[in-house]
Amino acid sequence: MAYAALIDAKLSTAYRQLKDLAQTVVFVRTEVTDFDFSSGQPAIEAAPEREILAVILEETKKKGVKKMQLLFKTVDLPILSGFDQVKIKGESWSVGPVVHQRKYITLLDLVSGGADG
Amino acid sequence: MGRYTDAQQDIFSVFATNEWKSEGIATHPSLIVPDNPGQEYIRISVIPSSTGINTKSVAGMLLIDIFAARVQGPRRPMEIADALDKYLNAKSVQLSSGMTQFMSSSTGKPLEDREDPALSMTLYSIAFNYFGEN
Repeated sequence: MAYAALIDAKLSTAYRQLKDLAQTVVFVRTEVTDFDFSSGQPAIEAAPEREILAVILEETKKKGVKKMQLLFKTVDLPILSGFDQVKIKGESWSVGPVVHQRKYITLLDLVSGGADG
Repeated sequence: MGRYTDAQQDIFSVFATNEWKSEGIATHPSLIVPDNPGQEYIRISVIPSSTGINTKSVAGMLLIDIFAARVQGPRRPMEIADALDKYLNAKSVQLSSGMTQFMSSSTGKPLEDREDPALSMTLYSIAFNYFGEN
C-alpha cells in the first residue's frame, strides 16, 4: 500500500477507535458563483450536505460568542469557505478561520450562529 | 431607499451595463469573491465615508483592487485602470432617486498579492458624491 493511502487508512482507524469522542457532523457547503450588480444579490449554489467524522477539541464562550475547534481528515473536506455551515446536534455553526491545514488533518474554528442558528 | 443604498446601487449599476461586461474583466464586490477568481479580476468596495452637502446626500470613495497576472508586467493593471476610467472618471450615474457624480481617479503602487503571489494587486480609487433628493 502506498504511504498516502496507508496514512489515510490509519487515520480512519484512529477516528473509529475514538468512539464517542469523534462524532458525525454535517457540512453544508455554499459556493458563491456570481454576483448580480443590477439586483445587488450574490448567486449562491448549495452543494449536497456531507457527513464526516470529526473531533471537537475545544468549546469556549467569550462575550456571548460560542466557538469550537473541530479536527477532521482533510480528505473529507478539502475546500472550505466562509459561506459554509456546519450542523452539530441540530445546532448551526459558521465556518471560521482554518487554524491548521495539512495534507491529512485540518483544524477549523467554528462560530455559533449559522444561517438558521 | 436610503442614501447609502442608493449610492451603492448607482455605483454597482455601472458594472451591470453591457458596455462594462464587454470589457471582459471579471468583477466582484468585496467579501463576495468566489473561491477561484482566476488570474485577472477586480474587487470593488464602496465606502460612503463622508457627509454630503445635505442630509440626503453622502460622499465617499470607490476603491477597486485590480488583480492581474504578474507575468504580464506592470502594463496590464494600467490598461484595466484605463478601462475603468472610461466608465467612472468624471462621469455621473443616475439610477436611484438621486445622482452619483465621480471625481478624478488615481492608482497606487502595484503590490504582490498576499494570497496568490502570481498576481499583482493595484489599487484604483475615485471619490464620489451622491446627491439625494432634498
